[in-house]
Amino acid sequence: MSQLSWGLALLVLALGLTHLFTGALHLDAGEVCRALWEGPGPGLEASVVWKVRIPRILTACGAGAGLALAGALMQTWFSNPLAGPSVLGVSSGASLGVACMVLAGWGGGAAAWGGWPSALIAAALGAGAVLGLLLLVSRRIQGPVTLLVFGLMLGYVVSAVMSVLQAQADPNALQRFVLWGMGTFAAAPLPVALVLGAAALGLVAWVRYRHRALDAWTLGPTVAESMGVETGRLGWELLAITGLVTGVVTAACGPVAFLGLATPHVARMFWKDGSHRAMNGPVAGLGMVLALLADGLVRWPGGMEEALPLNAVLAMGGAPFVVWLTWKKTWEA
Amino acid sequence: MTADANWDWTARDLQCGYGRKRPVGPRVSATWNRHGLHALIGSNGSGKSTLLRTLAGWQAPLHGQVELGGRSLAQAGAGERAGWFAWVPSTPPRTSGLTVGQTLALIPGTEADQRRMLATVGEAGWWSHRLSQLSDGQAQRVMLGRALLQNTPWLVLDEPTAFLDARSRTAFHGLLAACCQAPRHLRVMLATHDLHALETHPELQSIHCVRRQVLQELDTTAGVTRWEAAQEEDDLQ
Repeated sequence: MSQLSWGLALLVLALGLTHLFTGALHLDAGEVCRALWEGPGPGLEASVVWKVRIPRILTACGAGAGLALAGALMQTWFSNPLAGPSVLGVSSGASLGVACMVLAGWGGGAAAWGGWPSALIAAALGAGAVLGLLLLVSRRIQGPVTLLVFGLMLGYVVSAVMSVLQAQADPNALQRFVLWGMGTFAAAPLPVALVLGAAALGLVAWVRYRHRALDAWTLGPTVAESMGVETGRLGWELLAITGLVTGVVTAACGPVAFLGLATPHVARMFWKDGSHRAMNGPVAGLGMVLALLADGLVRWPGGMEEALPLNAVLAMGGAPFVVWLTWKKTWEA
Repeated sequence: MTADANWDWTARDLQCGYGRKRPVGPRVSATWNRHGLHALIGSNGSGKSTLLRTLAGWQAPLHGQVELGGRSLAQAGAGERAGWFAWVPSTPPRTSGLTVGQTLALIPGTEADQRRMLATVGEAGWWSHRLSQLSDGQAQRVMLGRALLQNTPWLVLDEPTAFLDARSRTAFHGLLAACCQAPRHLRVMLATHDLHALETHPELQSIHCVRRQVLQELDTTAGVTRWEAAQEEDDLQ
């Protein structure tokens, strides 16, 4: 590991510990350590540590790493630096899955918002459906702009369906859905946070396992095929795993914007080795760092649990960054 | 790869195309065998690229079949075909983040071999450069080196010099000619518009042209000139 990568790992650790030892409710270091040592329990300290802080840190890390890697993989697969879960309509597909659950009351009804497993499955199915559509369409169309336009239009169609659902929904479900749409790392309970972490780890492991084929793909589909890569299978694997991760993250945190699109670019600014094996760790680590930083900013004003919506924070930082990046690329080319 | 092994490449009543019934290009029955350069010419949109991809098994045919040395391509896996055909595209990859060294290292082998290959097709100093830092001409030579490292009997190229300037083009064709000679004795299938390069090519074995939905073999000595005349005739009609 290079010095830079060690620095990144330390940064993740430092941010994680900061979130563990600070929060809306003041606990001193000794109380946090005792709660950690004694494990989950009925006391106030144990509840804060095990039911609030640890799930939240895990959720932020899993979502950050998962979205960043999913974004990097979509950028590789579509040879498009502006691809990402929130750009190509994949997050919208996941949102539609959740909307059908919460608003239309499919799969157990609106009261079953506590039914995490069905929410996770619905979101993963929605994300997978959109990715499958993108995969089919990308074989027929040429050029990166067409695909972006297609993803954008798909997003509009999904929003239209969701607004129809919202117009029909009962006020309670609607309020929950709107709040969920603003994004948060604080909603998922520990088991869901663990699922999220496992999904992100699965993505890391898959990239590690398939890095050669992914590198070959960057040379062009036919070149990869001529080297013995079964590109059809690679595409479906990539679709399944990025769809699953995007779906799980979206169900747990809402449609989180910009992390997937921007993080791979931040990684490329610092790590010059562009192979998938080398970029795997830095992209995942930077995703965690950015997610934890954003989660810090969310509660920064006044030190409340949720002072600002997560997506507002991410858009304030992410949108100018992407504009700057496009600007720079245009003038360097 | 010994020169006398059976690497005959045969198309039987082959129809390329997309989907279920969108045929592209002519029905093809032909055999290519000797080492040297085999050219495929035809105007834009005549289906040369699709034919190449179908011949090498990277795209399924609508009808008919392809055999290499008597083995049907449809029954071979992607890994096995990678031992038969190596591919050089018409444009070098522009969005890849790989370095030249990483590109060559995608083919299993020793780093010494890979560096030697780079020195043959280009300059040893490119090793740690990114592909995107090289000019198109330089990157195409790296792509040729990558294909040669696959050590296949057949090399398949789709207008590899279309975007190169005159000097890079000459250098590229020089490299190809060298590969056809001893000790490599490579068989090269080249789709091209660069007719003048063909006329002066020392290793030219055959020319096939696609014209009016028919694939026909041309005479290697005077065929190109005659084909140009036929094209002008087509243009007049």
